[in-house]
Amino acid sequence: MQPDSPLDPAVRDLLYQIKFGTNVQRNEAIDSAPILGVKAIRHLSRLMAAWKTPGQFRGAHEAIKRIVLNGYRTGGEESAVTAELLKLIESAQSENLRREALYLLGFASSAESVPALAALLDDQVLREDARMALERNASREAESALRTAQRRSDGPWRSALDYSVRRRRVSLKDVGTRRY
Amino acid sequence: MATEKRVTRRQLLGGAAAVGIPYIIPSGVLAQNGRPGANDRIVFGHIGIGGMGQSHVVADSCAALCDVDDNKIKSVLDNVKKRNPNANPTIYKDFRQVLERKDIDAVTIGTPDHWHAVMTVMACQAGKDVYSEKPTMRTIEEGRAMVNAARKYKRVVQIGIQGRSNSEVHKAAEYVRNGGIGKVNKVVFWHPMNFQGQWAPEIPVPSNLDWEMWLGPMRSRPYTPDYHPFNFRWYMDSGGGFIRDRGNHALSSMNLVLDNDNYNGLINVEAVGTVQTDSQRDAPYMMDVIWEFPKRDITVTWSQPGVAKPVKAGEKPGEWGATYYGDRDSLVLFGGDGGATTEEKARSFQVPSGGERTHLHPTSHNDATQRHRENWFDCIKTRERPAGDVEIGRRSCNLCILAVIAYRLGRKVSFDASKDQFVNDSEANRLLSEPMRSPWRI
Repeated sequence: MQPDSPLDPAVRDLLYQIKFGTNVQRNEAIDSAPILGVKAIRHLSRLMAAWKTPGQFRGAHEAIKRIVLNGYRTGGEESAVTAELLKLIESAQSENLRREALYLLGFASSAESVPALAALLDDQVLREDARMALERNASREAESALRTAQRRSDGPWRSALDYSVRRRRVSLKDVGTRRY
Repeated sequence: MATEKRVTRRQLLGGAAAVGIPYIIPSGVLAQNGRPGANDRIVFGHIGIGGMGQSHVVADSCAALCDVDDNKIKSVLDNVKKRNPNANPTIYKDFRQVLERKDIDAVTIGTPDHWHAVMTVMACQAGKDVYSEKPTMRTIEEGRAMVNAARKYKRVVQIGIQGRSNSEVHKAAEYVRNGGIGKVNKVVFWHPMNFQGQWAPEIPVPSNLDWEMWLGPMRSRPYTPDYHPFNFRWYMDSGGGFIRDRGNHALSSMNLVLDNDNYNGLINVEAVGTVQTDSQRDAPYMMDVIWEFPKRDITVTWSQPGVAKPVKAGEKPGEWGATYYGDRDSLVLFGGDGGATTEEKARSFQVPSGGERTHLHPTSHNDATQRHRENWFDCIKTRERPAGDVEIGRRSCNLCILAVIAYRLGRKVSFDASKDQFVNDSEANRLLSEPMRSPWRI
């Protein structure tokens, strides 16, 4: 495992505000988190995993959400954000944290996360979250991953995958008019 | 299956009583495919019977009570039996069993928000008319699904936006639409903050609750006692806070006042909020929103908290409401749900000959919530669109959802109401829908 590089002073300040700040200060830190970008995700996720007060958990969680949505917007940080979320899924002890990372991965537009998500379609605990993340991902690779999993599945799980594939073809004009 | 009690028209008209408020049932229903016959009774199934859901229960014509919480079932059933000792509704935890029953004509849906769309679509497919509580839906796509299903299966779908049946809101609408304040250019809403809470530890699911069914289409998560009952409202996935809850009332009433239901231009939205960081509740408890309707040159703001205005100098202002500003004058309207009050100048306003009138469903009393239900009952009879038709609910709820999306993205968004799409904004367009946990789908 690679050692962390020295902590950026701005990230240190963000963590301090979230760890020890008032609700107002935490909210200011959350609002400013996207400026720091992906470099803060790892530290915030560690704080989420080892929180001592609810404010630390929630503050870190909100800050990560802001960074990820912002990172996926600007495009420039998309790869780096995806890589951080994939690391989080791999390393997190908490099922909740892994679920949250999967949810956020769904907002990526590229196919970089697809192989990892596809692998999780075989995970009995997280496969639903992985399916939902792939469903939101508009790439052809995501659809292909869903189809591949569909071919080797049966029963209700196959039906869930089938829905995720078919949904991609349903327009707003037609949604709600089909029985599945 | 237990024997359901089917009451006659005479019984319904003579002695029907909902839990809480007496009901007046439609005066007649013509027998045709998919609707009750002339001498039949409307038989109801009630799904989600906490909160407002229990107020919809028709004790004398209730064939099914459905809830995922045994305690809620017990208390509502006790209440029904007190009102009608002969009542014998079948109890369900799974709403699909209610929808399977051919003898049930209509369902009320009083579940948390994340269920509204799935249940409404499935109920329409099953041939039931629907009264679903507000907020109409959680996502833009869910709203479209509800409207599409209602139209395709020819169902009467009323949303619980009682402002559309509130005489005070109609008075305000007639006053404004007939030029009482001149050309409207601004609407300013004020509303109290969301309820704040404590950190809720994860604990085992209590035996009275079917947590998996409570979650339904929502992402899986561990149980905490802060979700149920009621507080689901302060979470993004299941409620969205007051902006989506009361917001649906407030903006539906605004659309009535401004004749804005069919607005099909661009809507620009900005929103900022503050979250509570010492609780899991993730909907911002303080929020400011600006909607711009460039096609009509109207700006609408929502401040939570905001500065309340009285309807009369020296009087205490209402808890929430709006001030409508025109180029000549302004008008205050408190509330916009079952309760609303407007200024005397609007209350005493008489629409001039040839002026614009709004249609308020006729009723024997002045309770807006009751009028709203009666309107639904009558529309089940006539097959007309109800006062809070699902399209009206969807359009106003869209505005609430746009605010939540702008807040989540932390920037201004531009939405094309004619296409239900954000303009050149793939990131925002990914938030038009929310993947659902299987087997739930729309």
